[in-house]
Amino acid sequence: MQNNHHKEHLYKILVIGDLGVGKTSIIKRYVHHNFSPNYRATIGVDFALKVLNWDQETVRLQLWDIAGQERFGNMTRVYYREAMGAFIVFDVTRPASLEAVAKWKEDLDSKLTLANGKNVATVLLANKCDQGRDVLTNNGIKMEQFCQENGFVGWYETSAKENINIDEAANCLVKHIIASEKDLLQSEVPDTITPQLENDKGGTCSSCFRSQ
Amino acid sequence: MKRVKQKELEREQGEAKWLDIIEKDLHRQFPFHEMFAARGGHGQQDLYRILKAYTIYRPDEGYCQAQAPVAAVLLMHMPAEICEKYLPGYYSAGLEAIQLDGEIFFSLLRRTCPMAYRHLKKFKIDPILYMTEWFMCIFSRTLPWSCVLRVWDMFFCEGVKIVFRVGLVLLKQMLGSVDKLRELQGMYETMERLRNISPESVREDIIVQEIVILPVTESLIERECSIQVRKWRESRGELTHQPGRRLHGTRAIYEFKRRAASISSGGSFSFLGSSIPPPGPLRASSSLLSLPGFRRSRAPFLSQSKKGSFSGPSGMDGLPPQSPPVVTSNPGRGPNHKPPMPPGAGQRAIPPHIQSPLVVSAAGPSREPAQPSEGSLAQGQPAASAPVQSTTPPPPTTLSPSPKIVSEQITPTIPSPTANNSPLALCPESKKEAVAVADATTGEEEGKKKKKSKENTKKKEKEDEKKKMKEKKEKDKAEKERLRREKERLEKEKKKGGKKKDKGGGEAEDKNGAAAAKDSA
Repeated sequence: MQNNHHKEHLYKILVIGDLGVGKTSIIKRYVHHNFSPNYRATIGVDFALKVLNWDQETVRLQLWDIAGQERFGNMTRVYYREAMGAFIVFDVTRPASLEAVAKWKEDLDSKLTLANGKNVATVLLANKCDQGRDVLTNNGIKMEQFCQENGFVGWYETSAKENINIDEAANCLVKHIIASEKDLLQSEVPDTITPQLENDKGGTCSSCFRSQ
Repeated sequence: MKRVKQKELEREQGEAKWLDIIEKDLHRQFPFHEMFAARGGHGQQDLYRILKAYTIYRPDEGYCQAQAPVAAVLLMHMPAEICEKYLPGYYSAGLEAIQLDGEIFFSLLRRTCPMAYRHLKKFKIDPILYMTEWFMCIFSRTLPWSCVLRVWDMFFCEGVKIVFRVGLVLLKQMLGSVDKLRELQGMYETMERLRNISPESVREDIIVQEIVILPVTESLIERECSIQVRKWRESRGELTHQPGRRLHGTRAIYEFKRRAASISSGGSFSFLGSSIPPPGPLRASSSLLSLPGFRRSRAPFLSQSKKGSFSGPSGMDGLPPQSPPVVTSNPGRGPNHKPPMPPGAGQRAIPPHIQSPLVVSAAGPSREPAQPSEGSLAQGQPAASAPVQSTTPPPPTTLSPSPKIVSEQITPTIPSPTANNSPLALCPESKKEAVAVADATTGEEEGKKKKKSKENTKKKEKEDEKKKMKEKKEKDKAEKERLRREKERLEKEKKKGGKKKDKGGGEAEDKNGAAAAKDSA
């Protein structure tokens, strides 16, 4: 346990939001450093891995790119499982996709909580800002308010096309994830094993979860 | 086989007088439909080939102008029809059908490749994480294009079991040995592999052969389906969306339509069952398009399991009581079943004009995969995919390849009751199931249905007991035989040295798996 002074973290991060808001493009930009106007719709779920150096530790981000079409929403419970953080993305040129953000957040919080009952850290991404920056900068204060009301830890105007703010948003999320992880660890008794009558880990046993 | 015939037809010149008229008609079929709007576009091309092939296939009839719109409509609707009957509910709001199939798929994996099953279970990789795209897009985004075409070809004529089989074969190939799993020690690594299947790892001839021999039958799928539906109800409550019953193969669709048509239209389709040629071409398959009667008589599959008569597909393929016995032979089944009578006989007995070339040919290629040489021949023209293939008429004297030989050699050692290694079990079962299905589908009047199903359940109970005994016997027998063969193989391999380490591991797995499958059965 103690021998690996070079610690590694693995975090599962969800990327959700309405269809066509640019979830896949954001991930592509963040992980593969490129952008393509031609891409295919995500069916079900896709994955990508990003490795970061973080205070001399290695952080692996497992990015889950989840299909935006509403009918896939029925499967989100399975997709959300064991995630530590999330991006919710909307398209600044499509107001309806912002309206859907609250719905996505609600869905997320209702299906996923950390072991201590708290919601996972979630960052709001206002994507395609290269196309509609003006509209949003006017709404800056409103956006802050919106984030507060809906429990986002932060929001960023992003552009996958122009590579704007994506690294920043990811760093923000990772920061909050690490904080919430510390929070979690502190709530447990560190380094000692206390024999207990009731097994409180029973609830999180994956096989039990599966059969629910 | 079919493709050769089709190629023949396409190569043939055709009579100029027919071609002349056909060409004049091509741009006059649904000119505002996007498929047929463009002069010389794909819709018109397909139409041309279909109509021309028909004139060559039945030179005595040639071309009648009324055929063109019928064929055009068929071309417009075939894919939609296939989706509705083969994959009911797949694309509807709740996506429950695909999730249910995910559970069925995972359970089948446990039988067919326990090593992959355990691996996926170990890393908590839920089936919907990888099979959603596979199944919903019927592998069109997963496999190399030539494979996609072959798979779709088989899928069109044999139904959803092909989709299950392809998925199982892929998992087997990617997660089916110790060596392969060694580098996939994690959920992400595994998912990465499953999401990005390298084209090199999927050889068309190999994968098609594997798909053909995999002993996953319609009845196995249906049985598993009823189990999973029950589990679903217990854990998640009633299915909110109840799709129509799944039909397995063009043959099943055809039979189902035919029954429905004869019920709803009181015999106006009677020519279908008789040996008198239908008045016009393409009539039989034009009934494939939604008849009101058909829709009404479609029973949701849930009601099936309620009655306890969850019908095996052999039953679905089975003959309706009123039809002549020749229909029993099932060309759509492919080499995985032992047909109840010599394979050629029944097929030849079907008067070719009962079905339109569209229907017949769709049922045709099922035999093809077992003959890779011809398959690869046809593969040369991928552009000639779906609808055009359908123009092929049946080769009247073809024998399907002997299923026994193929399977005995290569089939992995799963003691499934419906597997090839116990062909005898199939006959009584299919008979019984035919009764069950006839019961479920023909009776429009409720009272009749109930009465019958009561009788049926009694009958079924008896037969089930008998069947179980028989199955058990056969399983034991198969198991012994398998162990013996495996021993031999292992010994041979020992002689060969450590060259095939990989394979040895897989076999050891199979052994375990067989035991597991047995346990679960």
